[in-house]
Amino acid sequence: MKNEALIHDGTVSFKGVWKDFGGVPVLRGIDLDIASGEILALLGQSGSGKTTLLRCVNGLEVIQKGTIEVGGEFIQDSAKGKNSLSSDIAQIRQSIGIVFQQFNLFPHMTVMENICVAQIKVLGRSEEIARDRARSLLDRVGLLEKAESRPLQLSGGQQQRVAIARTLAMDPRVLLLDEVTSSLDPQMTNDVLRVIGDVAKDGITLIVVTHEMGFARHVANRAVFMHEGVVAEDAPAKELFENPQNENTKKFLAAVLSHQ
Amino acid sequence: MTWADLIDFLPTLLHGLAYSLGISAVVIVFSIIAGVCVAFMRVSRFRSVRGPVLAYVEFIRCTPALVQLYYIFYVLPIFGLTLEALTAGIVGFTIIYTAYLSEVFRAAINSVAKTQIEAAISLGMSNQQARRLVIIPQAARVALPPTVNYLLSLIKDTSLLSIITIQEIMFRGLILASQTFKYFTILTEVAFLYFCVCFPLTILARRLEAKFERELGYGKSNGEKKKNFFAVGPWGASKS
Repeated sequence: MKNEALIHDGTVSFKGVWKDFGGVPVLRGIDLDIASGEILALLGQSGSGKTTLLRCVNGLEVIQKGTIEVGGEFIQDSAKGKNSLSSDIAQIRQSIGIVFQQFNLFPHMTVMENICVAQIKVLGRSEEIARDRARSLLDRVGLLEKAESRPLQLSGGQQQRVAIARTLAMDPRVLLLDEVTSSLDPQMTNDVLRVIGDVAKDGITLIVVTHEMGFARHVANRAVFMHEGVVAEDAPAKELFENPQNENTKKFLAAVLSHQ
Repeated sequence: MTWADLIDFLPTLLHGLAYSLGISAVVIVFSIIAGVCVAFMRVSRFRSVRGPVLAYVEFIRCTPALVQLYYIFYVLPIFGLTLEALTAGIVGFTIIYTAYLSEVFRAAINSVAKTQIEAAISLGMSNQQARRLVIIPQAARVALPPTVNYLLSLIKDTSLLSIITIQEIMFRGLILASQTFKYFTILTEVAFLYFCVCFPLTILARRLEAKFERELGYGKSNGEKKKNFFAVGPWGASKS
């Protein structure tokens, strides 16, 4: 192995996390502890800060106040000054997978290369081991026959499943899913959700930003409702959906559920 | 214009053409290497790096190549820097085309969506790995067709070297013409030879563009990719 993984469990801890974009606060003091293996649905209206919070976990967004720890390692610590990111950020990121709304596969590589490149260049796996791993993951997401295709030859749903396989190949402890079905049609959405439901059994910590309420309710064991940059409600998923306490949560759920 | 004349002049002109192409080949290789470096300096985080490089690029883009070549060949010797004609030509055009190509490469680097870099670093890649494995391969595909177009304009521009006594095709053509007074025949033949070299390059550029657009999805309106617009052409074509 080229790089030892720095973190060994999937706990995520936010303390007093504050973030603003050019003076406009997006996260206004988030405190949240997520246990290893927990499946957390992050809910909220557009602009409530849920995607920003998710992106802070692997340091794609830099926070201005507070700390974020993953597996006991500080990934961001505002006490460090203007750049709060850990100096081991690249190494920590190996253990934090993220799947984006727009897939973001590398268009100049085949599906196989997309899944192998970081395994080989970052984890230092041999080509043979990386390809074996890629094949078993492609099989798992039902796309083994697409190994030599280019991403743009695939449908959106297929691309997203490849993106999930690419991330899983790194054996992450924490997996961040950022509205992964928002740009897909219902059939493709179901294919992707089936894969995620399967991944959820792996014991990886999952933080899921989604508008698929049925899915969130079914797969998540905890749900957090965010409103205007703060945690408005934090409860076991079943409870939050069946018996929301916060006024904003109630309004939000009433609005989305009447749509679905 | 007679066939006999055309055939008579052909060896001399072909010899000159070989000169033109040889110089172009050397210049384009140097300019690509230097242009990539300059392009990365242009997108540097540090102003002290970006500033001087920008000044160089703009200075070159805003003064005529002819003036620059004269300067290198006739003015620099006044300050004690005398270059042999061929060296002066190669150095001059490398300085000029480095500036042009750096703009192409800068645009190509910027055209790689920020989300691609995010995806790369999220997989644990260092910034340098992301640059090498994700940005450069995509930027190279974007930059290749306009680079071929610049090669085309470079080949034509080498005709300017006739003024600093380099024996490329135009120089030899003009000498022949002044000896024989067959301007019509000779200049037509010179133009035709340029055309025979340059026209295939325009086709190559167009093919490459279509191929990479297909591969990378550039130009497709799928909303996720930043739309790219490349101004391609010889200088003075209002690209910028």
